[in-house]
Amino acid sequence: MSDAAHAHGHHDEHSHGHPTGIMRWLTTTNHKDIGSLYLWFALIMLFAAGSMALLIRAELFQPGLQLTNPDFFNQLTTMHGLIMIFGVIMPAFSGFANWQVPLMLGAPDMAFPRMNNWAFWILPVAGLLLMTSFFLPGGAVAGGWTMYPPLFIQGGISYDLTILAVHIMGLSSIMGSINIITTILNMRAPGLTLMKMPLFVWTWLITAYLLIATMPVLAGAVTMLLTDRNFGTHFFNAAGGGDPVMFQHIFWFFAHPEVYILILPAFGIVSQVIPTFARKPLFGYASMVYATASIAILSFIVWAHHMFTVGMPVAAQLFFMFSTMLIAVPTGVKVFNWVATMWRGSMTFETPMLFAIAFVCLFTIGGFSGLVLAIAPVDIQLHDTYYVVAHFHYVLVSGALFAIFSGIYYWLPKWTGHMYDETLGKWHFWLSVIGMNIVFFPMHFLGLAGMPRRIPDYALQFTEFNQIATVGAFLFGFSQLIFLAVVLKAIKGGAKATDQVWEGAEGLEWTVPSPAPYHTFETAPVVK
Amino acid sequence: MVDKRNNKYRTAILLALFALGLFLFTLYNGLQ
Amino acid sequence: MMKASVWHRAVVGGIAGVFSQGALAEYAFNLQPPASQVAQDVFNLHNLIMLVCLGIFIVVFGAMFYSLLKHRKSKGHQAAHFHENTTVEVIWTVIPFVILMGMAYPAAKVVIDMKDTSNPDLTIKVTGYQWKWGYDYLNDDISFYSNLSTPRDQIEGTAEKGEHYLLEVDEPMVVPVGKRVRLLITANDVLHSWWVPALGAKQDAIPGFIRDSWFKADKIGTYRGQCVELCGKDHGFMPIVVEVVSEEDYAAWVAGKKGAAQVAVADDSKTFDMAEMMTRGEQVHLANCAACHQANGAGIPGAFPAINGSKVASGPIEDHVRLVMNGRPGTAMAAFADQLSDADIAAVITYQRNAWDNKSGDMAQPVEIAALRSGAESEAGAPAQ
Repeated sequence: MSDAAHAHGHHDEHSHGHPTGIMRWLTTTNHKDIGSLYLWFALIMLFAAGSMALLIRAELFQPGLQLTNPDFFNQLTTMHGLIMIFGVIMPAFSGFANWQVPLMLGAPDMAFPRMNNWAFWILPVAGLLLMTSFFLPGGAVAGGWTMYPPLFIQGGISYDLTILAVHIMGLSSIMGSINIITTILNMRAPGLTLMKMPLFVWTWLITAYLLIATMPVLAGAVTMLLTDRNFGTHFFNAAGGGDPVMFQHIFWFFAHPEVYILILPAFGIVSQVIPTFARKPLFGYASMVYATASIAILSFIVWAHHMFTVGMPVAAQLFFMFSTMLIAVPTGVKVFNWVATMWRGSMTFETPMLFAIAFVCLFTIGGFSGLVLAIAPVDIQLHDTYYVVAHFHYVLVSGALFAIFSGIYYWLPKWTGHMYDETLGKWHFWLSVIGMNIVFFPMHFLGLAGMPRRIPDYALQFTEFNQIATVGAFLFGFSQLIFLAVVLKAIKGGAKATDQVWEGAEGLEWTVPSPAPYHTFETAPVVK
Repeated sequence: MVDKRNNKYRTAILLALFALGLFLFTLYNGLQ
Repeated sequence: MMKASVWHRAVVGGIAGVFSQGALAEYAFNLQPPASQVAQDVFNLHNLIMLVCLGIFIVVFGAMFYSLLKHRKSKGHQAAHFHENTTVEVIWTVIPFVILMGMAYPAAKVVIDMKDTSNPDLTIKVTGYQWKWGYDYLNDDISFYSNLSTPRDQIEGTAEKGEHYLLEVDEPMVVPVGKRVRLLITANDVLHSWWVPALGAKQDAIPGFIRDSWFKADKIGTYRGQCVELCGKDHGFMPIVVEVVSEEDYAAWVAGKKGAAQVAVADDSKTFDMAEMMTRGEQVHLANCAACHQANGAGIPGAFPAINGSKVASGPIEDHVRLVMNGRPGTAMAAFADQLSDADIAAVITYQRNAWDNKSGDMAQPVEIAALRSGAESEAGAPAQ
């Protein structure tokens, strides 16, 4: 990406004394370079955690234990979750933020370029801690990505290292968020008021606030796990006067907003892509901003819907049920606005648009299963079953991940200067959409029928749907190799991309050449 | 331009302090 | 856009099939057939929500797919320029809100009903262990453990799987039909969760706390469930079986259990010979120890220590007994003092010290274990290594 840009026609860059090779990437403070680093890291982690998923699905192809023992299976499910959330989705969105926010604001770079470098480079350290924990005595963490005590107190050394990794990733997110908020608030081009910013920037602004408000809480929670494990405290140990459920409250106070952190930037990407390919402005811009902000605020008062079975008083069950149902309203408003953007537009269906449309439809299915789970009595039957697994994979895979794909296809020509291979892109799209639905739709039925989560083996009546899911998983998984091929091919070459790239594209990033020069907007543009 | 640079650091420090405070508040709450 | 009525009938028929109970049983698409009023209420609530979601989905995505077909550049459609409309925004905020309120009311009623554990006919304390359940019938003073009874070779694939693979236990919970059963649920070690889908009861088992739940089974039958909170390696292997029987059968079962309890108490003052000890000890080992230490005592390196050839099994017998009774705090080794009788502890100790390659020749008797119990209560287990 930038490396092609670097070689292309900017030989004078070398006279600035910029390092080349490995040192360039290690010491870069350039938002485009750092954006690329985040995206590559996310892609590598996608394949790592994806392979774990394939192992999981392979074991679950039939009842009985064929490939793994139960403890290793739990390690796989735990690490798959931790890596996908913290190593794939969050870094990918950070990559988009780095590439796009300065360009969209007409700013020369992020507010704190050196902190930007640190925020990225501690991530591979954390990733390494997580990946190598498989080889430590006792194996990797096997207590679920939710890390509930007392189970989490029982594990070996990898549990402590995982806590360290979580701290590191949290620090990375906090530094990144400080950078993003400061850039957005302090470095917009003259004339670019908040209500003129692209929606993608709004969603990242709100996401960054969510991160700052929740990551410290996660840090507190895992610190307490660490001291319970090693320093004789008993925050979560009833025998010492503590309460395991308190961990759940603290954890979910972080983790519920976290799921909105995982989706708001996706909303932002889709809100850029759909207007471009419908050749029509985003419908209800102000509504979209307010809806996003409402979702963020509401996300702080719904956390205990993850805990409907711990034994809360009736009043609490009712409160959290009502507040959770309420979040459906602003989310629905956004979906209607996207459809209204398409309505009476002049649509074409290049790959970014295909992924964006699939997002709107499939994310909504995930939203509906979320609504079902919000109804506390129904949740009592579905909590900790495959229904929940279906729900969150619909919102995270056909939601967050498809939005990431949409964004990559959309902005690759701007980043690399080449149009990607549209035919390969479409293959990737169709195989992914079909594959994804084959894996995850049957899981709704498995949950309804009574199959619990996080089990390596299951009763015979669950066999057929598990087999279907496994077949879909391999289809979906291997289709991602097409994506890798598209990206590599676009970096190497392809049809030359114009500045505007897409007929309906609007925004400051489409006013600079493709590939975007290493330094852009060194003088601020004036926005009317 | 100088104003904006001062603002920049002020924004950042405020956010960082908030994060730190929240972390300590969580731990304090756990102790209760 | 009403097309052929065949299509229409097929869709309606399919949906009706899914929503009815018992249809298409092999490919299960809905919640299990309810066996209690609560489960029926939840079943109905879920059907209602599904219908609402389906309705909204058809309207919204019908519009979207229509738009995708008609509002295409390739069909020559020119883009309109509108991009906001406050009236429409208000409408599509208020209508979903009203729909949600409509769903919230029946839902709240079921929440309140599920939480009302008053006026039980009998009360059972349920304790989750790694990896089995313990049931204490507080009214009838019976206690027993309920372990997965599916043989290991079925799991490993060397034997054909039985019909109730992974959903069968040695000692089910037995309750009389039509009676309100209150469950007091707790755990011994880590979080577990007790769930029987057909009865509509699920409650997390939290160590150090007691949370209650209840069910009233409408029909005689056997209902199966599983632990639903990750609790370690055998989380998937600690099922629940509830047998709902007539009142007479329940009374008979209670009497039988009391009889068996008396036999067990008697065992604790008996003296056994080596052969009896080894047989009994092997059963105890397989039911309680083999999950981690393996049937052959080899353990899993790095995770669970071996008993075969270990210093514990060849060292002082009192240390071995104390380890079994008190566990190792900070590890997965539980304290078995309350879970195993004197006779069972004596047997498993004897077995472990004389099985596989261990040949200590030691034998423990129940009375010796009893003596160590009263002394051992004041000692903590050995510190984690």
